[in-house]
Amino acid sequence: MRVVGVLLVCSLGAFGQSGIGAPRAGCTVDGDHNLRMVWGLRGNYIIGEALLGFVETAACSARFTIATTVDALVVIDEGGREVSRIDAPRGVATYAFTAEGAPAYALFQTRSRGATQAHTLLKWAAGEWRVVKAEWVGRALSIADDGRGGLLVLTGSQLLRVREGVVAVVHDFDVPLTSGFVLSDGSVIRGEAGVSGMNRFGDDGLRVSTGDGEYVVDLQTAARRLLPGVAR
Amino acid sequence: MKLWLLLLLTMVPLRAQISIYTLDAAGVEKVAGSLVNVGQAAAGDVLDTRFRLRNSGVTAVTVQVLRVSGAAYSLVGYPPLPHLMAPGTNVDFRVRFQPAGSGSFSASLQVNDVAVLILGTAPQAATVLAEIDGQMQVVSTASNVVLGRVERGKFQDYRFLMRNDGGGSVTVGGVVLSGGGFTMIVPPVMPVSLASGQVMGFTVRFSPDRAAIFQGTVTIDARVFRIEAVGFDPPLPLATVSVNSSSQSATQGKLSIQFLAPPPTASSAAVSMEFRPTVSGVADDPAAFFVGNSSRSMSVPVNAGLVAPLDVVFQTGTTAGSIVFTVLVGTQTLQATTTISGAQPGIEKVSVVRGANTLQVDVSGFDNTRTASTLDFVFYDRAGVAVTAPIRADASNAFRQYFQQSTVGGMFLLRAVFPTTGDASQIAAVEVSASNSSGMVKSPRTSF
Repeated sequence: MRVVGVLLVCSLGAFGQSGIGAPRAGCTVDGDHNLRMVWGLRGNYIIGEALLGFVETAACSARFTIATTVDALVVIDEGGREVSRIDAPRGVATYAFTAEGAPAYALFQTRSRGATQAHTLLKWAAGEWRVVKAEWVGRALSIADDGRGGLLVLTGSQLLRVREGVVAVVHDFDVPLTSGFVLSDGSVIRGEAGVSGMNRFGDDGLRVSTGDGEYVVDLQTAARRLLPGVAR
Repeated sequence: MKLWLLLLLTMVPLRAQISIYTLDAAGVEKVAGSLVNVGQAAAGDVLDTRFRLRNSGVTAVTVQVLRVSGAAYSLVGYPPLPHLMAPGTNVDFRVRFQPAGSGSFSASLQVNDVAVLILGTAPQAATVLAEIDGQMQVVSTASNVVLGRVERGKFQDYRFLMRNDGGGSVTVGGVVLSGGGFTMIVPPVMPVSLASGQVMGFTVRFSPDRAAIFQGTVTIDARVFRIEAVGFDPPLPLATVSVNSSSQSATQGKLSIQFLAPPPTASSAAVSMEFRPTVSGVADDPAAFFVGNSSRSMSVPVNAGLVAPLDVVFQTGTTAGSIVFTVLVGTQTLQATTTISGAQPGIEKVSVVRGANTLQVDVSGFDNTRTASTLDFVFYDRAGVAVTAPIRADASNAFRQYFQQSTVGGMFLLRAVFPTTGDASQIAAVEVSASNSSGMVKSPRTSF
């Protein structure tokens, strides 16, 4: 046995005295536009109380939740506390997290005609959002932090990498996408017919919204589990 | 002499206080004279005439007598007697004329000491019969002709007959059918003259397009027969219910309802589940519910023609016990049970966050026995060699305290912090073992 680091004793911490707490799986936005935490494990979810109202879109890692209400861009930590709230730029929001689950980017796109797509890109740095300039053509279906200072942008026809203002085409799609999700390693998950939204769900999940409800795809195993509806 | 005069003056207004009126279909009053002609009604039919009494005086008056005498007449909807009428108030009732045969009929309507002669006529008319319960029965306009029940989407024909039971001939000018769901099959040729004893028929088809009470009319000349029939949904075919997979905690399973034949109509099934924990001190598991509504009961639509099983997704929770499902579908009550046995802890995920001189290991999982005790951590270097002996943490008390307050059943996220010295960057993976009363489980090696 070779000791490269001396590990002493295990101490349980961070959840009060016990060191044990409820596992958070992710988050969801209910039909009344309330942001709700989802507690549990894969396939055993409990929808929590409403945390935030008037929510239009939201995504979450295991540590943070990014949500856009009708007028604000809000970041919430794993304890349910708001750590940032700013006026939301115009448009529909898409989010990206770092590999560690910290906020990375928020992209706001306004509906436009033709190929021109107006957008505002925010980058999370030192606990606050900053506008960064990055231009590309087309509406982004999904964005991801590539972990090397770049932004991956999935459009309906291309996967782009934007770094220091330079746009490079990573991949051209033969068959256009109507919905999809890009991971930080450049993997693309194509949305099925009827999918209206794909958002990060915890560290290993993807929350897929359809007209019939929502399900969670396990990005490790590709297993699909239904997300419970809110009890009424 | 003075006394008699006073009495006479008092009696006259009392007799005149009650005014008698008839009312037409629009409710318009007409003063009833000494004779009221109520009109015509065929034998067996009903003709109601509305009457109104009004106290037109300035003092109260009591109706002591209210009756109609004479064959074929009766009173309907009259007040209990004696009936005190305040000044200016009304009381309504109906005089029903229901002759048993043809001819002229008279009667006397008596209101206290006032009498009104009533006249009515029963012309010669065809006796009408309808097919009810497979038999031809004489029907009248007095009450609804209830034809029967027909399954939605199907039809039933009902025979009607017009029979001249009189001595002379009877002419029928027309037969008109109205009402949704009813159609006339082979309409009779009109007008027609029926000789004594002659019979003529027509057929009414009832074809309901929904489950409901349908009402219509068959009008023969001026006689209106109200008809009624019921459309009903056919019963659902027999079904079976089963639980697919999921005799384990922390999974989503399917309750499958399989009809033995495709349901002919759309309906719904009421499903419910009861969770019965077998863990001492645990009353329930909040994650054991139907996924559709995070509840233990829900209504599931059943489509017409359904062939595939009707699946209802549920969560098993993270507590050992049994789940009893009850399905109410049509007139059937079906049950199925799945048992969740106590098992070793489930480790769902292990993640590590490096800190300054620490390694934070998060272990998420569940313990459906609520007896979790020790955890063992083994760290590995980048070459895959164990760098420590298993580091054991006795978390029995911590788990016990947590489970006593848990609002998520047996699920947990355990966070263990390991101080490090030396070059901790060489530590690259960890394995976690967890034990409870049912055994021990080891996680896959997690690299970080």
